[in-house]
Amino acid sequence: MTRINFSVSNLMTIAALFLFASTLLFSCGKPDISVNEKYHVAVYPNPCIDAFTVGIGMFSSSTTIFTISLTKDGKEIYKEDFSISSTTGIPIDVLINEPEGAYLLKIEFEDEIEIIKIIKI
Amino acid sequence: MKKITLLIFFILTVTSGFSQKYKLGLEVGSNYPILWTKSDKTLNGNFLETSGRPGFNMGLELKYSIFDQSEIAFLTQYQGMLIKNEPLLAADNAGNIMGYLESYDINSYANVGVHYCYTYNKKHSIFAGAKLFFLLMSKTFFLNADDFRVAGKKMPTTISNRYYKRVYLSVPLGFNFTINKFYIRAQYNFAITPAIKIDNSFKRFDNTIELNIGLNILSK
Repeated sequence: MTRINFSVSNLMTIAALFLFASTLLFSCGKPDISVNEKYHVAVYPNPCIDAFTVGIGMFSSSTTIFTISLTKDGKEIYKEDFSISSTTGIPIDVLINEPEGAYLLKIEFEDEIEIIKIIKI
Repeated sequence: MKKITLLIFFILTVTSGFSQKYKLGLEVGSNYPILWTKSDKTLNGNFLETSGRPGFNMGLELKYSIFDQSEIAFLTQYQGMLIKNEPLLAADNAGNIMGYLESYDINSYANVGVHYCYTYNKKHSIFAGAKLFFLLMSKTFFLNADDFRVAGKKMPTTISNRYYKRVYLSVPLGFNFTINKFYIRAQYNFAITPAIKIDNSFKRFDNTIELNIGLNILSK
């Protein structure tokens, strides 16, 4: 009859492999986005050349307060607070003197954050 | 790069005084970025729907024996990471949808790290440490750029990403397996500081899985 020897080192290696594989499997399936239909946000034109408009569509008539910010090299280059009560287009021209590239636009509502990539060409 | 070279030189100088045995390994491998977001609010937007793709690593590992079953390892790596973006909705001046831009983010990092390794037999060891990622380049590569023109201007094929942090820190945990002059190192890097940060309400971290195969080219 064949005997299988389970040494401590073999068991530790198997445990480490199991931990590594399970971490990989659980991490890959992690969702980090949900959809909220209170507002509709559109940015145009995107890609843009110097300026773009942030269109905020509202599904209710109550006043909404939100903040728009833009990031470059991990630093905030623009931030402004707004208050609107109907569908609005907000022109933003802070990219005029900035180099070509991809920037992150964040629109922060009371209970929701929308992140959109802006391409300047 | 000059700072990294000076740091490696400093580490070698300091540690060479107290160690008797060392191994210098040349390694190549693959990495898989896992992006996750920390925010106290509900998140929307297609920017978040990204997924990692296998990238590559190459570097040097210098290991010193400090006690019977303990080693300390210093690493320097060049790491190329690949992230597939969800298609970006392209719109014209009037807000009409022009189509979808398919793209990948290509990031390259110069890394330095230090590990404490516990060797529980001649072939196997487990380790923990710290690793700093220095961003060298971050670009988005568009697959279908030729299909788009904006106000008559041609869309470029690549464009710089201006939102990644220049430096971030992670804690690697993993294990080594040694066969003669070769070693295999598998590790999971737990991100401590964000790779992307807009402000405290939005931080994006990059945990990376790595698998490296190395050859000890020098040893004493």
